[in-house]
Amino acid sequence: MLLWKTLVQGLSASFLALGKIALILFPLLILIEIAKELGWLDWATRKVAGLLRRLELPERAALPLAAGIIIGLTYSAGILLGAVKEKGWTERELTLLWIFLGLNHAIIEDTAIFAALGIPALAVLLVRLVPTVLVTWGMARVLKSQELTGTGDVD
Amino acid sequence: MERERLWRALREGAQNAVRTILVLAKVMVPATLLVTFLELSGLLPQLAKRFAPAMALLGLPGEAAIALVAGNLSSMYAGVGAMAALELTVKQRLILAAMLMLSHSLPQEGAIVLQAGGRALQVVGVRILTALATGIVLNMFF
Repeated sequence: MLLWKTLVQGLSASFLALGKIALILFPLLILIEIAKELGWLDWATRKVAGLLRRLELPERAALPLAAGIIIGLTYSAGILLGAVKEKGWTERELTLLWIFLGLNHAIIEDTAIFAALGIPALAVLLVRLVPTVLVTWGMARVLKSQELTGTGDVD
Repeated sequence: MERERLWRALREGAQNAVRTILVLAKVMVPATLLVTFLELSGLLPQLAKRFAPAMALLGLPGEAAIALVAGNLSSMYAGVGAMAALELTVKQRLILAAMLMLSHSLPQEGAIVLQAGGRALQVVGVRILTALATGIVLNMFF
């Protein structure tokens, strides 16, 4: 009886949620592909470069960062690992890059998923972007002062 | 845009959507079933009582702790699955969504950071703290 009730209730809850997510995800991911064909990743890369200047991160991080923000950490791990390995990054830059990306990746998919569950999409975006930018900015300050006073272990 | 490129975009986009939904379903369905079982069997309400005081700081019911634990240790989608089984207000959903998005899948994503030469522990620590701080702030001012 309990198992039966669990199955009915659990399956209907999860398929209802999945159905709502699918309704948003299909058009959205198709739009993203169209945008990619139209050179949208270049545009995003330029926008991200501007943000990086403000966070005092090297602008060469723009492409992997844009890819990570839009596509996601696991999917874009290849591009990211390649970009990170080929260029000389300081440990501070690397840590900041990963703090930013760790907090904020795959934003289109994730936002769509939570919006499908009944939360306004703009609110979903804001509650993630604002803390991410604030924390990365703050950590940039903290790690910089560590470098200057020599308390951080700098390679 | 030529027809060929539009067609390619349609196909790629639809494939990505199918892939994402499959990945999501694989994790979400068992998580939702588990949480529903715990709820119906009365185990979750008992567990929730222990977490209630700490979760109150975040404006969340004790039950929501299971979504946070699942999301952080397993994958964000497991957290979403647990969320789907719980009765929550929009405010509580927003808080939980923010916390789950900022901090999730810590073992897997921590490993990626480590592989790329970042300080994984520091990144993971910052993510947990950011999620907690965001939850507390949203609860106070939203």
